[in-house]
Amino acid sequence: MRRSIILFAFLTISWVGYSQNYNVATLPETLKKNANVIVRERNEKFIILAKDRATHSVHEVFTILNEKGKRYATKVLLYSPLQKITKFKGTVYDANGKEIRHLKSDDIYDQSAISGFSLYEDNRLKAAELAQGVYPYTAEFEYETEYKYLFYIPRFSLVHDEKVAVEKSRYTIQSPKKAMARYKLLNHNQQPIESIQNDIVTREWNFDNTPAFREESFSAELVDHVPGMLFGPTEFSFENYTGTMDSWANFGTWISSLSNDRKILPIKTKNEIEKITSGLPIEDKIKTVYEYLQSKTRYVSIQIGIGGFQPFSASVVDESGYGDCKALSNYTVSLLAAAGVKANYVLIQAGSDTNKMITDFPSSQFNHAVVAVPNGKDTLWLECTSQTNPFGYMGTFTGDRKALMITDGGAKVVHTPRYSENQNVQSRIGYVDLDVTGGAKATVITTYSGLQYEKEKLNFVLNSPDEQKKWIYRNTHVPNFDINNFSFANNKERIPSAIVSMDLYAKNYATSSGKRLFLNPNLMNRSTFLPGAIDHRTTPVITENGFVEVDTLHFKLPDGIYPEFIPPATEIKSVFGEYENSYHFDQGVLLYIRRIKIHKGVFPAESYTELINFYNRVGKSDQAKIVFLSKT
Amino acid sequence: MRILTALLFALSFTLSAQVRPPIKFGVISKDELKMTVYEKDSSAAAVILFDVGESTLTGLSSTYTRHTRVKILTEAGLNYANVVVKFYKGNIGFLRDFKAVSYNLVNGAVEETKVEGENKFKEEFVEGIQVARMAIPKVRVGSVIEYKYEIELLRYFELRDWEFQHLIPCKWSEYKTHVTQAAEYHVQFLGYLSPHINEEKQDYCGALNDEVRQCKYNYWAMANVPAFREEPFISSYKNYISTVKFSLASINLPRRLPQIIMSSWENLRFRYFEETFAYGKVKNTLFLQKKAEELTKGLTHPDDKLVAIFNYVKDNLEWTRFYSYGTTKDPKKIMEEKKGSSGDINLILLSMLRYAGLPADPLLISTRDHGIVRQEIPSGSQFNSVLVMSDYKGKKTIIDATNKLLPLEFLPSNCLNGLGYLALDNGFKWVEVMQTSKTRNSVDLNLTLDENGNMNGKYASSLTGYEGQSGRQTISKEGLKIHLGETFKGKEILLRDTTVENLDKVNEPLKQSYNVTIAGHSQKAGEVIYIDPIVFSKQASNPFVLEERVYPIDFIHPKETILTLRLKVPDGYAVDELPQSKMSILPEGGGKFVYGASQNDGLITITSQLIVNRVLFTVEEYPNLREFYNIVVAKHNEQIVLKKISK
Repeated sequence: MRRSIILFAFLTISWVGYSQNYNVATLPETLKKNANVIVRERNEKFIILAKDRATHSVHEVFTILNEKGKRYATKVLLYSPLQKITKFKGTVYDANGKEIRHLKSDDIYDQSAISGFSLYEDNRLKAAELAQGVYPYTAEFEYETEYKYLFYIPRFSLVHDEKVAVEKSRYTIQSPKKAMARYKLLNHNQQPIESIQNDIVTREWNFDNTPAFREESFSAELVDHVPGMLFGPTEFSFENYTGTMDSWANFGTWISSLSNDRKILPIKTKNEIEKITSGLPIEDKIKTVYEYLQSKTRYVSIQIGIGGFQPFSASVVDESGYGDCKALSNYTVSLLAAAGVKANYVLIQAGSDTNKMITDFPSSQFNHAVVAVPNGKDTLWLECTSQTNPFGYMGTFTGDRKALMITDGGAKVVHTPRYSENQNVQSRIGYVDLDVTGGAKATVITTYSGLQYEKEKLNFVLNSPDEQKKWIYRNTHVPNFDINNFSFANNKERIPSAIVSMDLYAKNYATSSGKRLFLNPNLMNRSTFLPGAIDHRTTPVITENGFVEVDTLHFKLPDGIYPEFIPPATEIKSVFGEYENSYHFDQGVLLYIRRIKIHKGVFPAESYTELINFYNRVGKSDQAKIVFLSKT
Repeated sequence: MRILTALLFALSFTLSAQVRPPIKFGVISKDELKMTVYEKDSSAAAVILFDVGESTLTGLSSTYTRHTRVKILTEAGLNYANVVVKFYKGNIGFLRDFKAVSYNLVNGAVEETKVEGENKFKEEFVEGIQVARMAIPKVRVGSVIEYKYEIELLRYFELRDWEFQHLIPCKWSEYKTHVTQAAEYHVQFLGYLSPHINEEKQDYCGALNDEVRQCKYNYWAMANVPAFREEPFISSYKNYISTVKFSLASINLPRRLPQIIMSSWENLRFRYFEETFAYGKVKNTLFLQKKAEELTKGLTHPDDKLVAIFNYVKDNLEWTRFYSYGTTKDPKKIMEEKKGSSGDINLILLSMLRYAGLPADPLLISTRDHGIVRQEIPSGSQFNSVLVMSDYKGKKTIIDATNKLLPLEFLPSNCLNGLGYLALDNGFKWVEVMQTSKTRNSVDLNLTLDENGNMNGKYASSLTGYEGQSGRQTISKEGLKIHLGETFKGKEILLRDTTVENLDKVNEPLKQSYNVTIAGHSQKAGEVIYIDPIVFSKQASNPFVLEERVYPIDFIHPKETILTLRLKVPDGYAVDELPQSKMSILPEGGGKFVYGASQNDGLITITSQLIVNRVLFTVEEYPNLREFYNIVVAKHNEQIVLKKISK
C-alpha cells in the first residue's frame, strides 16, 4: 500500500515537472494568430560557477505551424576547445502531442564551423534536424554547453523573429555573490525574482502568453522592440587573462592588457616609418602610414581561443603581411606610434543591420576593430582591413554609431563619423542628342559622393575593372542601349567620391508613334520604390540614410519637332524629404532638372501613410512624359 | 626570302603563345613580377601563370600533385593567396610537401617569403575529410605567389578531375595522368575550349607488380584560357567550364576476375533494379498496394487512376529538397514521416501506379545544377534524381510528384536538363526531358477611360505552369495581400471584388479577376489624352543587355505572355494616333511576337502576344534574340493619343 502511494506521488511530480502536453488543438487562438511558430515552453539557464567557468543550458519546445517556421526544427550548436557541448537531445511530436521520434547520436551532424570570412577558427558545430513533412508538429530540444572561460554571456531576446508567439518562457541567471552577473532590462520593466542561497544569487524572469510580433518596414530591428536582457560578468577570466567588467574603463583596461606587449615593431619597419613620415604635417603622416598599411597587408581572419579578442602582435603582422581586424588595427596603432602619432584601438559593432551598442552597460558587444586618431578637434578614423578604403572614410559598415575607444586609462564611448545628407550626393549631368526615331546618343557623367560612394556596391566595382561594364548595365535604367565608352574615376578623399562617365547609344530612348515622340526625360533615376501598406502601424518610422540626388539632363532635339505637351513642374515637400522637377524648353534644347532630398530620421508611427504618399507622388512625377509633335 | 621570314615570324608568334612556360618551384622571372596588367584581359584581378597537375595511379595508391603560380593584379585578387586543400584523412590519406612562397620586387631585387608552419591550419571538416588551409604571407598587389602539394591516397582508385578554366584567366594549364593498366577509365572533355595538347602513350609507372607496371600516360594542356564569366540564361557553370573528367570503368587485377565498375548502359539497368532502386523492397509493401487499390476503386479510365494516385502522393509527401535516384529509406518510414527525397517520393509514386495496373518506369536524370548527362560515359554517377514515365492523355508522359504546386504536365524546372535514362524491364531508352506544355500568362483588361484619365473596369488573368506555381506559392505562403502587392507593384490601382479561382486545383489555370480603377497610365494635356496601353506584364527592358555573348542562351522551358486591352474612349474624344501593328519572329520557329492595335467605334483593342517556343538558342542567334526583345520593348512603350472632337 505504502509503495503504491509513493509511486503515485512520484508520478504526480513527474507529470507536473514535464507537462508534455504538446497537443496543438489546445493552443489558444491569441497565440496562433499571425504565428509561424509558438514557443510552448522555453527554459534558459546561465550559471556562473566561477570567474572562469559557466554552464549554459536550454530546454525549448516549439510548435511549428507551417513551412515558414521550419528552421525552428533545426538546432545548430557551436563548440570549441573552450566551449564544450555536454548535452544535446531532441524529440519531435505530432499534432496530437504523440512522440514521433527522438534524436539518436547518428542523427547529430558534426562539422567544422569556420565563418565565410575566416581562414581558420577553432569553432565546430553540431547540428540536428527534426523537420516533418506535415504541419503542425512540435520539436523539443534540450542542450547544455560548458564554458571554460567567462567573458561573454549570450543576450536574451524573447523572440528572434517576427511571427513567433510565446506561451511560456523562463530565463534564469545564477552567479556566486563574489562574481555577480550584471544585467540590463531591454524593452520591458519586469524586475527579476531574486533569491540568495549559500552565497549564490539566482535571478529569474518569466514571460508568458506573448502574441507574435510583426516586423514593419522602415522600422528598427526586432531586438529593439522585443523584451530582452543584456548580461555581463563583473569579474571574469579568459585563458588566464583576468579582468572586471563593471565599467567601460575596466573593460578597456582588460582589452589593453591583451595587446600591451604586442605593439613592438621590427626596427627595420620602425626606421622606415620614421623615414617616410618625417617632417610631414600630422594628417599627412597618418595618411602615409595608412597607405603603407594598405599596400603591405591583407585581411586574413584567424580566430583561435582568446585570439577572438587578442590581436596578433605587430611584429607577426609585419612579417606575414596579413591579419584580422584586431591584428591590423593593433599594427596600425603601432605604425602610427613609430611616426610619433598617438592613435587608439576602437571596438565597434560593424555592419549595416546590426545591434546598436548599448552604451550604459559595459559588456562584450563588438564584432570589429578600427583605429581612431585624435587630431585636435577632429578625429581621423581608419578601417584597417581594406586595401582600397579611402583614407578616413567610415561608410555604412562602421559609420554613424557608438563605439568603444580604448584609451590609456581604460576606455571611452565615442561616435563614429556621420555624413550629413548634403554630403551624400549623387549628381548627374547628361547631354542627350535625340534623333527623330527616338534614338539617342548620350554622354552622362555621374558623381557619387559620401555614402553614395557605396551605391550598388560601386566602391567594390571601382577596384574590380571586370565588373564595371556590368555595373553600368545593371544600374542604368535605359531600355536597349549599347555602351560606346565608359570610365570610372575614384577620388579617395576624406569624403570620397566616384565619377562614372559613359557614352551610350540607346535605340529607343524615346518612343516614336506615328507623328509623335514620347520622351520620359527621367530615364536614368526613376523612383519605382513604393513602401507597402501596413494596417495599424505601431513602430516609429526610421529612415536609415539621408542623401541628395540631382539630375540635370540636356536634350538636344532634332529639327522639325516641337513639344506638344510638357508636364508641369512638380514640387513635393514632406517631413521625409523634398522633391522637385522642372522642364525648360529653349531653342531646340530641353533642360530637365530633378532634385530629391531624403532626410535621415525617426518619425512617429502615424507618419507612415505620409511616407507612402511621398513615394507615390515622387514615383508618379518621375513617370511624366514629354510629347513632341512632328511639324510635318 | 623576305616572305619566308615574315611567314616564319607569324608562325613562331602563334606558337610562342602556346609554349609551355618554364615550370620550376622557386625559379621566377622578373618579368612575372614587373607585370602590372594581363594584356589578354586587362580587367583581370589576378592571372594564373601556370597550373600544373599530375596524377599517378599505381593500383597501390593514387598520388596527385599540383603546382600553381598566380600573379596578383588588383586588391580583389588578394584572395587567391589563401589556399585550401581537401583530402581524405586518417591512415589512408596524406598531404605532403604543402609549400608556398610569395615573391615581391623590393628595390629591384626579388624578395622571397616562404610559408612557415604557423600559417598552415588543418581541421577535420566532417568525419573522414581533412582540410588544410594556408595564408601565404607578404602578398600585395603586384606579388607573385606559388604553391605546391602532393596528396596520396592508399588502396583506393581515385583519379581527380582537372579544371582548365577558372574565374580568373590562366596562361597555362596542364594535367598529366599515369594510370596503371589495372584500371580503366572513361575520359571526357567538357566545356567550350579544346586542349592545345592532347597526347596519349604507353608508359611505366610505380609497380603493383611486374604484370601491371604498364601504364597509360595522358597529357592535356591548354594555353591562354580565358576567365569563366557568368551570363544570364545559362544552366550550371559545370556545363561550361573546360574540364577533363574521369569515371572508373573497370579494375583488372592479375589473376582475379575483372571488376566491372561501369560496363554498359544496359548493365546499369540491372544494377539499378537490384541495388539502388530497392525494387523488391518496394514491391513487398502491401500497404502501398492497398492504398493504390483504395484510391483507384471505382475509377475506370487510366488517366483518372493516374491523377488520383499522383495527387495522393504529391499531397501527402513533402520533398526534403534532397535528390536521389533510389529510395533512401524504407517506404513505410517515408510514408510515416510524410517526407522524402526525390527518389523516395517518385518511386513510391511508381510502385503505386504499377499496383494500379498502370504503366510506370523509372527515368533517371541529372538535375540542372548537377550537370548534363553524357551518353558516352556509361556511369550511374551521372544521375542524381528519378522521374516516372507513364501514360497520360494517350501519350507517354513524364511525371514528378515532388512539387505540390505544379500541375501533372509540368516538371520542376531543375529537372529539365537534356537526356534521361529510361530503365525498362526489357531494355533501356534515352528520353529527352523537356517541357512541352507552355507556361502561359494572360492578362485581359476591359476598361473604360474617363475624362480625368482614370481607367475603370475588369482585370482578369490566367496563369498556367510555372507562372501558376509562383502565383500559388505567394498566395498560399504569404497571403493574397502580398501577392496582389507584388502583382500590382508600383501601380496606382484600386482593387475591388477580388476573386481567385483554382487556388488548390493546380491542374487548372490560376485565375484572378478584379474590378479595378487604374490611374497613372494616361495623361491629360488640354485637348489631348495620352495612354500607355500596356499596363501589366510590360517588357520594360531587354533581358539581354550585353552586346557580346559567349555561351548559348537557355530559356529552360517554353512560355507565352498574352496581353489584351479593350478600352472604351470617353465620349467626345477620338483616336488621333494608334500604335502600328507589328509582328516579329525568331528563326526556326523559335518564337514570335505579335502586336496588334485596332479601333472600332470608340473601342480600342491592343493585343500583345510574346511566345518563346524554343528553349535553346545559339550564340550566333544572340543578336537576333536581342533585337527581337528590342522590338518587344519598343512596342510595349508605345502610346495611344486621343483628341477631343472639335464641335
